[in-house]
Amino acid sequence: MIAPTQAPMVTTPWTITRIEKETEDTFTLDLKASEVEASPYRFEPGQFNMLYVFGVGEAPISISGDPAKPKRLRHTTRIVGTVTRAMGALRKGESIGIRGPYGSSWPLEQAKGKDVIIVSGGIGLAPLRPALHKLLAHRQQYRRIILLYGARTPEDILYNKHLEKWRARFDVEVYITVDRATRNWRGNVGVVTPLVKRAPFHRDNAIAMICGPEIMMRYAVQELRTRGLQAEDIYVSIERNMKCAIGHCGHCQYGPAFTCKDGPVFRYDKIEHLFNLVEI
Amino acid sequence: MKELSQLIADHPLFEGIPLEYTEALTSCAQEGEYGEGSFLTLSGSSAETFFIILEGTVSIQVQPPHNSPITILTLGEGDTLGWSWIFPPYAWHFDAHATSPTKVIAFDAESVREKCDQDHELGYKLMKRIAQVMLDRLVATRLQLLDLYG
Amino acid sequence: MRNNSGGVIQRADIGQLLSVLTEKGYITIGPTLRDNTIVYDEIESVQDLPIGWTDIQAPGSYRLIKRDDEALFAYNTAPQSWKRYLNPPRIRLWKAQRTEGGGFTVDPEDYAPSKYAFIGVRACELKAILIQDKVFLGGYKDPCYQSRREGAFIVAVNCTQANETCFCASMNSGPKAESDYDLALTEIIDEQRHEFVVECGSERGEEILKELQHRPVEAEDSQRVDERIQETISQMGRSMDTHRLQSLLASQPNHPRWEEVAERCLSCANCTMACPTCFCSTVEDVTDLTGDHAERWRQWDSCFTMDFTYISGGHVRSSVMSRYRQWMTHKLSTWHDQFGVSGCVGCGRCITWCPVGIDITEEVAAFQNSHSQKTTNSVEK
Repeated sequence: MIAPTQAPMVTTPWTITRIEKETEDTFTLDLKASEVEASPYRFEPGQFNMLYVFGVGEAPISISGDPAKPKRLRHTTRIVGTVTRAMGALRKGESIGIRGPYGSSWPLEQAKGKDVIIVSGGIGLAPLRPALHKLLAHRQQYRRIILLYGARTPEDILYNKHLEKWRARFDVEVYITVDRATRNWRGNVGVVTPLVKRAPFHRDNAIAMICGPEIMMRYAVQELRTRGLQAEDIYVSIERNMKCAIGHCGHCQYGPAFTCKDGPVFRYDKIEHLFNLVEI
Repeated sequence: MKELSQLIADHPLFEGIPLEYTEALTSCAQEGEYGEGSFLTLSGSSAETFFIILEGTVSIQVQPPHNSPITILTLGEGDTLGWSWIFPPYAWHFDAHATSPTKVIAFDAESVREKCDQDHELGYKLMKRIAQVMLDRLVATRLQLLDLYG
Repeated sequence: MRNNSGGVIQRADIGQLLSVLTEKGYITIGPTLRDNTIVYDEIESVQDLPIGWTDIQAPGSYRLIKRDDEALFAYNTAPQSWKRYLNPPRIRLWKAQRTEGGGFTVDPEDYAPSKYAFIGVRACELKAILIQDKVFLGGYKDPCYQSRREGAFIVAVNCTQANETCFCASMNSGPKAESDYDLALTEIIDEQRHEFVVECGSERGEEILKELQHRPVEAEDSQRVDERIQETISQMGRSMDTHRLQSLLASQPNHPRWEEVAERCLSCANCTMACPTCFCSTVEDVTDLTGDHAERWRQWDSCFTMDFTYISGGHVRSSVMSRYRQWMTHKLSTWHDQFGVSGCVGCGRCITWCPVGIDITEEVAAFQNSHSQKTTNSVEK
């Protein structure tokens, strides 16, 4: 696990170099730090940062950029509350506070030599994009790479450019589906879980990585298990309220785990007993 | 190429069904092909067949009056299509539109119904499996309704 | 541990302890009367102590009454605990200043080492401090906690009486402080004497004792201490059966008892504020009127608030049932997974300060009983 190099509760200003509107309510920020601060910064796919908007507050946001290019720190954020709304109003050249990276990462080491099946929904693709970057940068180390992605409507699909690029490759299988089609949508319609049924992976030699709404993940896990995947070959990313990100504030507890440091990526068998409980 | 009887026996829908029954079902089936843009079912028309999709993609669509169709669900390889053939008046509720060249196994509904009526054991086994497909489809539809990503 | 060195101080000389500690630069914090309770605050002399007062505690009830002696420490737990000095309810983490062109600079708070002497730390409270050490110093070190904890001088006081709400004996955390103190006092009052048997737990403690008027500890003194401790144990009004409790609670998220207790629970958070081990906090961001100066503050928070589990989709634990379940399961079960110890020291504060008198020992007993009934039933079958 890569941990922050600065004092864990102190934020460091980074400058916004680029803002890209992804969908109606999501946007991607590219950030750059001064050389001194950027040089030690590294992260693993699946980890997150605490992003601070001056005077407004902090929000945990997963890192969605390429881990091979940590100096261009990239986050995709959905506007859901005060902090993310203020973040969305920032302009290029303004600063945002960063502390991190925190938390566990996707099992890219364990996935070597295996089929990799990625199941994502909505903004859940954001923390998985760094994993895809890394998988594709070391393509020969993995067997099949399958990406299943579900969004609400065609307009809600994230990272269209990347998805098109990946789709054009012969060594990645990309399946995208939407809950509600628009009239000109030519792609797949329906939830993401039935795609699992058809995904061409080898059940004895595969690793699944899932990120999306908890209900979606629940059904995706069920479907993967039906397909014969073992609980220890499934990884999920859990969302909980994170305030301190270092296991001190107590907010993100998920049973015995602190999601901020034991998660957000959990091996499914470790949290199976909690996964189907409500209000845990 | 696999024989039709083998394709049917190997399909997950018929997993665990005794050979005599899959053979009986094979006698009601034939392979078929649909070109991109053609329709497997048309809302309101009589439901004389049901399908197992071998290749291609099929969109279940609703055609609102004076507007272009809306896709509700996309089916693909391995999926079962159609259950209006089970219940009178045996008329399709939706359009099934091949959005790519599609290969199917088509079952003649009347013959299958007859066989099921004659042998309730076969009828029970088949209905149970189709009920499972309906359940999966219902669960998926409910998830779709939840607006999960909202 | 240096439990073998010690001495006996007369009541008349106990004031020296405070003055010697003050001379050495310590800020002396101890029990004092305020608002009809005993609170921990800065004390300057023995006169500040709750001389001759004791507390009567019961579920949802706390009363002070006058004793017929001049005891200094003849009460049990105060509504506050030492955590307010080691992990203050509200601290600033950093200040930030906007700079030209949309940037800002950050100025982290500098936590100067504090030199607190805590007077009258009970065994259960000492255990609670050790538990919070695991939270705040076990992984990432919290700089504020560290600055206050490392210099702290601990004068423990062994309990010579117990309240109805006390159950430290069953939690192995009292009533006698066994280690991790600098000095431990046992107050002995009878017809012939009012004195304090002092045990040294550190070199610092020994040095302080040297400067105090004292006589050596005799066998009878130790015997009196033991008697008082035994008497205290026998007075405890409650106990908790911790046998297999960790796995029992972890395996019972849907037990009907959670709904039953939730019907009474007001979700007021009193238990978490009074609890000496509860450590949850939140942060608050503030700006001045110009908007150019911002600060980030940390303050105590409670898992009983709705906002505690806010995520983009809503609140994870929106029912009182789930919040009580979280608190008790955390305290007695998942705390073990996280820190290798129970989060409960048996001080009884959560029972006393619960406005509706919910009793954690009674809740545990309900789980233990329904479990043993089930076990018995399955044996009969």
